[in-house]
Amino acid sequence: MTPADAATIVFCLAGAVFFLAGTVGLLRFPDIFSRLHALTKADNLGLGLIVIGLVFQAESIAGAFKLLLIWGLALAAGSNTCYAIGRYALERLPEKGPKEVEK
Amino acid sequence: MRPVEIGLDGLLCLLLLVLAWKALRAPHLYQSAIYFIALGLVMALAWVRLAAPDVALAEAAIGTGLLGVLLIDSLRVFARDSKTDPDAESEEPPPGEINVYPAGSARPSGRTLPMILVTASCGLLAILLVEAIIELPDGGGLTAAAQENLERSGVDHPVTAVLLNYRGYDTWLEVGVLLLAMLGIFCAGGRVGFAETRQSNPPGHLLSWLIRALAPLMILAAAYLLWLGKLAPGGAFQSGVILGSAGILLRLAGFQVISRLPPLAVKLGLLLGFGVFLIFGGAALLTGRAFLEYPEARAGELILLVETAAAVSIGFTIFAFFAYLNSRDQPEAQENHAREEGGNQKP
Repeated sequence: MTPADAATIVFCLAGAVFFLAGTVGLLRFPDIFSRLHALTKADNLGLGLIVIGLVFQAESIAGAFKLLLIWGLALAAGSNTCYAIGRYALERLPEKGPKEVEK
Repeated sequence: MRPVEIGLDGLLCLLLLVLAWKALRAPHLYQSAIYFIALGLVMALAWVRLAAPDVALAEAAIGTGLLGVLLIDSLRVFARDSKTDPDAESEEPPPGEINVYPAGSARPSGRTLPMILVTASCGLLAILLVEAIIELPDGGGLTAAAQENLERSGVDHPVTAVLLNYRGYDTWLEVGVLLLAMLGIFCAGGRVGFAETRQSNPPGHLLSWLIRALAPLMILAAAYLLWLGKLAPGGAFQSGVILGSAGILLRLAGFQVISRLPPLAVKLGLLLGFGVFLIFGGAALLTGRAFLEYPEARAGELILLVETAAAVSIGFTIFAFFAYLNSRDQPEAQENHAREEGGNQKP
């Protein structure tokens, strides 16, 4: 196994852990905001770590750059989706406050 | 085939069946739409596993992205209609909960006879498809013939060669179907849909910033896919859908798209794909070739031209579908339209 392969395995596994944690959070957390919090960790860090892992396998500099661009796009889109969902939920919040909100 | 691959494919098949069933049986139409979007995503993965990236791209763009937007937007229109209906069942959420389902999205109870008819038709179709797969000749039928003539087709990607050269006729009619669907929408609701109105609640700064940044990138990506179709998966349909989606995103962010263009340009944009195909086909007939037969030396350039026209038209048409749905029943839009029509009419 080359050092590059080892780095790929380490980073991808770390990314998978974030995705797993994000999924568990989505399923188990009580309200919409903490669920969003769990999801965005998976999106941002999990995908980022997997992209870094894959960069070690890229055949060219351009290929690695493309992977990083994909991550950047997912970051921008993901944070915006989170913001949009959060705003939608906040606008429809009953008086009681965020703790009471069920999805 | 390795066990991992068998496991992956088995999981995909299972997911497809479960998601299809869920999409059919979910208690809310809104849930059905979401399941349908998930179904499209898994379907795109299945196409990738079948080594058909062209179909996967089209499935992901049209089946998932575009159809999802259209379905959810249609439900929104239904919800608006049912709100004005006093007999409509009101679904007030219990206090402390957000009702995520639009009013009127509860699945209507199925009637028996249509259900039986639909089930029987689907069963018949399934039997026919299985039979077709069994009768498929060894070596994939026409694959060898398509590869053999690739050099003469003007492009380097067999799928594009089939779509634009060998079977250009089919693609021409597909573009025609899109145009017909659009004309159907015009007939059903008039051209009211094109009178754009400013959205009542504009999205936040962040969202409109993102869409401002993404729209040029999407146009770039569409052009790239169009160019890429010559040698790799890509081409007019995928490119057109991305163009149309860029328009939809801009529209969702409250930007005026159609009304910024002169009406003639919009009509030309809608007609361009079908028209260019027709002109080329006719020209080929006049110069003594078969309909849509390209002269071999210039086939590459001509195909690119036809594809560009088709992509622009597909983009316009897809956006028009959405623009129509999005502003239907908005009194402001109708007023604008009436004023416009009144101004144009001469006694």
